[in-house]
Amino acid sequence: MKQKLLIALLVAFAVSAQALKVGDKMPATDVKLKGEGGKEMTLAELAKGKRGTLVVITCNKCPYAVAWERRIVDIGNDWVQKEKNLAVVAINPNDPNQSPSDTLDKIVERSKKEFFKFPYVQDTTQKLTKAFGATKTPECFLFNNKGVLVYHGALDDNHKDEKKVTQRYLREALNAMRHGEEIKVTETKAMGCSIKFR
Amino acid sequence: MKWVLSLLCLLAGCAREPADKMVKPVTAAQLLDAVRAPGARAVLVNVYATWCGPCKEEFPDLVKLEQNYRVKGLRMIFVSADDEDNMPAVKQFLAKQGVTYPTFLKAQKDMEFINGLDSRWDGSLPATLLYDGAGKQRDFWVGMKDYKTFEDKLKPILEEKP
Repeated sequence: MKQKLLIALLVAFAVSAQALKVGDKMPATDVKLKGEGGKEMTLAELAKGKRGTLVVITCNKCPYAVAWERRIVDIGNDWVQKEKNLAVVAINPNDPNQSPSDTLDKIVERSKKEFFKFPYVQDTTQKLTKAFGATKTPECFLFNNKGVLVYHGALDDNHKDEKKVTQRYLREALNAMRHGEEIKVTETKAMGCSIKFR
Repeated sequence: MKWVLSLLCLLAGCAREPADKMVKPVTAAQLLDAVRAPGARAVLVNVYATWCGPCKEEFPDLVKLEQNYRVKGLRMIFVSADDEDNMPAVKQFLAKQGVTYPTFLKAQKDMEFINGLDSRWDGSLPATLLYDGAGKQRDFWVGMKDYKTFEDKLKPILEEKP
């Protein structure tokens, strides 16, 4: 019972954090994120000299994250190519003690299996996740070259079936940002799995 | 209109289908019709999914709440956010939880459904909304909560004069 109450309090704390709003500056740029072999990196390092930064808060098990995973990887791989010059990072926010499928080993294993060409790292302190106000997986945050949030939300409007997608929110935001055009849809919503906070 | 009538019938318990078959597709607008249907002093809407750990952990408290406060006028409305092809798992889950009244399955795109219920909701599960008998929203929770949290907010509404 005590454990249940504690979890409830933690979740309540998590959802009380305000999500970043479009126009906000990228926070937590110095938070160390852990990747393969324990290698640490920060958003500041990843974003340096890039046209923009795409941060995808995701995980290995959530059905929504899994359903969107191939599209996340395809977009990420496509946009890290040199001519597009975008920093892309997938961040796993979950406490691996509560979510055993989200250990660092399993994150690395997943990124290799699915051919990520961008870092898929662990927010071991959960400081970045909390600073972003992220509450669920998956959630996309796109920042421009000034580190200002220009899009927040879902990848597209159908997690289940890519063939039935009618709105490719993230790709449209990326294309608009690349061409210096106005991003028409800047905030979207989808369901997802609650982040497992400590 | 036909949908509302059949809904009223379902909520009044006049359907004779086995409970595990009474999982009806629903949009946010239809759900709000169900909330406003006469006969309840308070309504709790809980959006869950069978793949959502905190939802499953919270669920028995809501079932117990319904059992304890049904006679005082609580209407409990469970809405699964599972995909339609996950219906067998939804029915199995409800049967295991001992839910013997009609429930629903989200049948609308996420963003329309989320904003249709409450624009403050970011889509995290579980989400629970509390309404009074007139259909006015009185509280809203995102994330797992416990029996007492719900009960503390529910009781004063049930005790209000009609």
